[in-house]
Amino acid sequence: MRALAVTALLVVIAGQAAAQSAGDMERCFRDPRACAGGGAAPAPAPPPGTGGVAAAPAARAPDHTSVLQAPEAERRKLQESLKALDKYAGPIDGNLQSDASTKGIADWQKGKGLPPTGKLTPEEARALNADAANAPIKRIEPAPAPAPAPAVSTAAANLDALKAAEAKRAERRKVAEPKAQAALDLLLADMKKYAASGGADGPLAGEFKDLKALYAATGLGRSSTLRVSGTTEDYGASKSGVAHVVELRLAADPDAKKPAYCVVLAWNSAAAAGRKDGAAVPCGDVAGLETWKTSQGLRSDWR
Amino acid sequence: MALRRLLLSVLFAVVAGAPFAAPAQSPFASPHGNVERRDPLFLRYAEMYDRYFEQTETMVAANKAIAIPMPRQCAFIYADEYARNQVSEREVQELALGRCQRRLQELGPIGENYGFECRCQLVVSNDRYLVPRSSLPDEAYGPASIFFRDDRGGMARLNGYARYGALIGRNRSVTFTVNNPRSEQACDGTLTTGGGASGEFSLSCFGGRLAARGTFQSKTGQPNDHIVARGQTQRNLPVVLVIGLPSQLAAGHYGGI
Repeated sequence: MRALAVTALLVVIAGQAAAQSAGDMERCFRDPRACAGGGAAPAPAPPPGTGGVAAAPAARAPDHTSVLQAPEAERRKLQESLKALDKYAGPIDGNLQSDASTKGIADWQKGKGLPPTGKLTPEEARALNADAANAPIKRIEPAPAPAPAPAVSTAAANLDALKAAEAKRAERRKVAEPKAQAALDLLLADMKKYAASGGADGPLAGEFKDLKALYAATGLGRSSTLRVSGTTEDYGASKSGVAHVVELRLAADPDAKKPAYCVVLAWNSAAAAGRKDGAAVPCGDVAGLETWKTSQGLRSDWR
Repeated sequence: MALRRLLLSVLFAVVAGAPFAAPAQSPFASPHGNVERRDPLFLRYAEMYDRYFEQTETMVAANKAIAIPMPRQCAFIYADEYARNQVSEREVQELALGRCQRRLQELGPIGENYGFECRCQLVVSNDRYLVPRSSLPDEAYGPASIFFRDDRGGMARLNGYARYGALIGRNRSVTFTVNNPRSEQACDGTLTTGGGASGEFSLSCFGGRLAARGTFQSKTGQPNDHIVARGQTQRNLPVVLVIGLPSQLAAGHYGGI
């Protein structure tokens, strides 16, 4: 009876200790509902064989040789797992019998409540790899002094990140340019047809419902000699395919003595489909344009 | 004859140019109403409130624009721009949007805090809301990180975002919640000021499995206004909660517990 009570007490204490392990907290944070009751910890990712890692009665001698004789790749993997758990800082060379490796293994075993032999059984090896796979964030060693990181280094890091992001964007834009240009050329041709019909017919008429009013207000009327030029203002993936944003300048006077009129046309395109979700906004309406981009979930490859 | 042609030209230019020059006629202009002093957006950012409604130099500006990261959970920074007549409404909008985007980039990635995209958006231009008011933040939000070291030396870094119900400093006790990046609530707690920018906090996560108490401080300025709360669990294990800094900045400044 007394032994039973002691065992129960030990289980409770062990349970409490496990309840506040960093790994458990991270698992709970990822899935709060699993821990909402405040009771049992969510089942940690199953470490086969070791589970609660209460040492099983040793019915037979533990198998420490299989892991040592495992292929080098597997042994390296175990060292990487130890490293991911901050138990090992040595080279990844597959040598599980080095001082650093055995110490790392013993540390990990101690943390799991296993005998700290410094050698792994196959079950322990699987549990170690599972632990590492479930450790999303590496441990942080306590800083020697809790002084805030110097702002300069943060700023420099952010500047580097910014430069890298810009380089990446430039690369994406380079890839996007031919596609954006093809869409622009097509739009320019359609705009000429539209102008030739006086803003009534052509592919654009049904695609950009706001265009009709804007075009009528320019007073350019029916013009087969309308000069149309355009530039891509934005381009990138959207929730319905690819979003194009083009700034068009329209001028009736071949000598460009009269002012040109400016309008932005925005639309989505998907494979084997034409322009859709079309919108026409005056060039000055940044807010209107941003509203359209946001509503379409545009992820720019252009700017 | 020449005069008549000139008049016609002027008339033509006015009539023709108007729809493109005036954003008010945008097909996207939607009547979301005008700003008011007590709107949550202004209560959230006291300095912006002062500039927008109180400080003479800025409140009389001909053109004003405000941009914040959206959706509302992302609105932990803002950019407001004011200009006299020589700068157009469009330019002021671009300035606000650009400054918001730069600020967001400078603070580093926020993907560990938010499982959705945060993107700067113009929300106010010349006293008009450009987005539905219901989409704007009605309470304070910010990226949040919790650092916890267990008794075996294991370190947990929990990154998500926090929502707090009122303004620290104006209300004596403020409740808050911490959500994971998937917007699932994981923790709640209170911040109680003792007057000024510091006070006590309590935190309870996962039905009390991680609970801590301690003190907090509100810090203004670089790298961003934020709250740092340091405390201990019942078993004297250290816990740090940071609200207002993206995960990497929070870890860089306070992760070494």
